[in-house]
Amino acid sequence: MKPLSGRTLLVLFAIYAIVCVLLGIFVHPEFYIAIIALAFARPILREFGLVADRDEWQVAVSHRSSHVAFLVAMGIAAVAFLRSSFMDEGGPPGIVSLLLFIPLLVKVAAWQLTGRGRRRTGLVLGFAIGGFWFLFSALSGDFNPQLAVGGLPLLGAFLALRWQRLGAVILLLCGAVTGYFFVLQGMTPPQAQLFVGLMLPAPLILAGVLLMMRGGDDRPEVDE
Amino acid sequence: MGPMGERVRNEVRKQRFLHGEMTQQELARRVGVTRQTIIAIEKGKYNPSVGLALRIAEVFGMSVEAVFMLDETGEERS
Repeated sequence: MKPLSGRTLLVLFAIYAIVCVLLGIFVHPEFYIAIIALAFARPILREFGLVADRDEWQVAVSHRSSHVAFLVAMGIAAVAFLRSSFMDEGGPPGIVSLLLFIPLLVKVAAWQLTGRGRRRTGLVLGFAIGGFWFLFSALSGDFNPQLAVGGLPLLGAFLALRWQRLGAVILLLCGAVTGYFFVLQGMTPPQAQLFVGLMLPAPLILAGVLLMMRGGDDRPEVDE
Repeated sequence: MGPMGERVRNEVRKQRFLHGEMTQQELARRVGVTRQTIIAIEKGKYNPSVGLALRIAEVFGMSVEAVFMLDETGEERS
């Protein structure tokens, strides 16, 4: 996509501000608050390469500030999680767990994907989610159906080592089945649904999709 | 200091003055970045990409190694 010029951006921002004001007048006064988003719009658009005045130092600064913001947010979420775990009855609220674990999971997946390529990321996700669920089920007592739920993605990941597409199909099926039973048919609080959905079916489906694609493995070349 | 935090010093500021007291703005325009980027490079706060380092060296008509060099004293300190 071609980066937006300063003039185009100004026009877009003006249209956005006018829409916010109109919504504020005719719909609800809280729409005025949406104008604040304009203060962050330019840096965010620049981050995605949509503004023409972007250069490499600005990108480096933007990445660094995003990283600092990520660490601060993780720190706050970790403190809230620990405080709730020890002091609140019933443990931490779902939203705190979501805010703590999902960004960390995304970071690990993005790191893997960027540094190691699609195949390796798919395998790591399959082994990690399958292994975690298998261990969790095995430690919870006798044989139960959940053990199979954990065992299947693990099997899929093992098979993908040799037969990539077959393993991918198993992981995709596991993602679809767990998504159906644990999210659509499962818990009622939306936060719990979102949490389980992002921790179990989403990574399995992502692993399946990544393994479905041919190539994309960034293994280092053999040094000759 | 290890390779990750390797110190690189540069002579961008010196070369600007040797090249008709070129302003930071002029250099920025010629290499296609903002003045803030040139300031950050001159202060040693930011190591430019290879592409940008080559463009800066090209403006001064020099090799990139003549404008950007490893800070040997920084290496010895590590």
